Amino acid sequence: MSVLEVDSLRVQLPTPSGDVTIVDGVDYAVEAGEVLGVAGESGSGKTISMLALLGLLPERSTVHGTARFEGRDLITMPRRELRDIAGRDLAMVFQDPFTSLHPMLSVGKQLTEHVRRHLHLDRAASQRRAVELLEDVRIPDPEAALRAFPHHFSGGMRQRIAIAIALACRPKLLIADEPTTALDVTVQAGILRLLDRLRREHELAVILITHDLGVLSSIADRVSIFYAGRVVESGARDAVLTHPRHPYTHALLDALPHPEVSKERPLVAIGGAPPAPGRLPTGCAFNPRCAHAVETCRLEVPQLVVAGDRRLACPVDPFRA
Amino acid sequence: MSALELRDVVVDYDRRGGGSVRAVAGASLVVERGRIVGLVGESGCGKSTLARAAVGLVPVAEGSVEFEGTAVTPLSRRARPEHLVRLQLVFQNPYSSLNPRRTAGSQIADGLKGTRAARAVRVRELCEVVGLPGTVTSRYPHEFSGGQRQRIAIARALASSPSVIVLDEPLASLDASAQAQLANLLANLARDLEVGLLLISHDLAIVRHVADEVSVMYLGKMAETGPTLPLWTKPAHPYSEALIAAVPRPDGAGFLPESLPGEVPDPAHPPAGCRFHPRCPYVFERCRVEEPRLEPLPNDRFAACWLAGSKGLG
Repeated sequence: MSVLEVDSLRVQLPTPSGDVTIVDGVDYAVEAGEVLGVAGESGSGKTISMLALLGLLPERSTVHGTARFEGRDLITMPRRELRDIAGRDLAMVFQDPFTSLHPMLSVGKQLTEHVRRHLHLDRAASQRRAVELLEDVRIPDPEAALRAFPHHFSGGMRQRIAIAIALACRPKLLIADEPTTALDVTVQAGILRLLDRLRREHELAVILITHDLGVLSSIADRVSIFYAGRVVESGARDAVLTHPRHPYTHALLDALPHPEVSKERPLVAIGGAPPAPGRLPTGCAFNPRCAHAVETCRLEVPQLVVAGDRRLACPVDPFRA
Repeated sequence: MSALELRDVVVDYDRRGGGSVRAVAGASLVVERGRIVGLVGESGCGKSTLARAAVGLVPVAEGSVEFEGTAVTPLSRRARPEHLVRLQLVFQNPYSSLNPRRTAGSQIADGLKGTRAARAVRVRELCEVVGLPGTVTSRYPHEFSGGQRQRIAIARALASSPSVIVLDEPLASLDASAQAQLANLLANLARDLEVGLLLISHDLAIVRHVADEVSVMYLGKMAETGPTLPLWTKPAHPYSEALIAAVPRPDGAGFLPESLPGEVPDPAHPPAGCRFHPRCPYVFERCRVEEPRLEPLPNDRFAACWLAGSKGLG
């Protein structure tokens, strides 16, 4: 059974000009010990679809669909129950650990408060657990680190601490939203290796949201590519990234510099810009930017359907092997 | 004469509560017209400070900065000297460097002279150069995407017909497609307009793609400099090697990038000997006591490593 199974998730956010659909029918699932990579440009609904699961959307937002976490639907669950699950069995880390850590509380306080609330440990036991957690994410001298404050640490160390807090109650699922975007590549590599070790040793399921296909390629087992609030292609990492079949996935990969490609050849940018939510073109949302669009693409919204080794939302399928 | 030349530049910052920190500890760099020089290194290595020193935004404690043969002096309250107008800087976040209450066109026109009509024509030309439609001139910064705003900032820099533009992380926080467009634009500026570019970036893949030469900086000094491709394929300094190995590849193969343990040390207390030795996998006795200088290698390359000469580069 999947740790998390999201089905037909739709999210509408209130705006001054009425409700706008940000996520429009998204499905995905993640198993224990597996890393699901979610990629797409900014504004494609990646983050909102995760915040919806945790009940972290603004007031008057509407969420439809189901999100079964160990068999129970997070969407219809009473808020009290959701609060118990979120932070214990289901944890999240964000892009900027400096804003998610409390600047005025010591690292020890932030770690122990968490385990004491959710696991009901006493002071000594929670202290031991905190040291264990910092050791697990490879913070040097954990005892001293407990007494220190977030600003004493570098960006990479802060992100490790944020991950330690997220792992404090042995969650089944970790949602990591651009966890390495603000970090140097050397530090990023360390965080990716840490996540990879945690999912192996603790059977942790991880959803990794990133705009960086390199990051996705190095750690994800399966990937989902988001565009304008929908999944346009999903499947095993090597299948999707070595033989992309959706024109959007293809274009995203073409835009990246490859060491093998001569610098005389310009990078291939995707023409146009992603559509603003609420102002989607009719038919496939990617059709105005797509070199392979035909008449149907302008009329019908393509469904995500099984296409050989993956799922694909493109009736033209120009890159079929 | 080089367009922009930094020789043995040292920059000190005062530290709160007394004392000072040497952010740049003797670094040299040359940017010729029409060439793109990439400056890379982890945060805290001094690359942004060096960029600021290059355009006179921070005073230089030792060494010299020359632009087209004249010294670059720190900015004062007076107007920037005429000859320095052709040396421009583009910042990381165009949303904070552009004035939100003025139209794109009027901000691009700031650096232009001549009649109103002539300036309007030139603004439209500059928009075309950076790939924006001429109709954008009457719109405000918030109406543009991040990539478009960065192109407005570049058009604004181009208005003074610069021979060198220093760009501090111009591609950070942009989507891949916008990055690709901007990277292509930078390559065109160097090739077609013969502008020299100093490109500071932590995105090594982009630097590898557009830069003619690369300087790798560590803790205030150059660890290695040289033409991009040879440096990339066979790095002479272990730090360059570690940086390159840490770049994740989008090839679907599932290889985890190599991490480099440790962090850039506090520049107030640089390690004895080679500055990189506490993190270096190849460290041996000499590295702990004696600091290697940036020495020439074959093919216009330089590296500050005791082992560089024995790597058979050339």
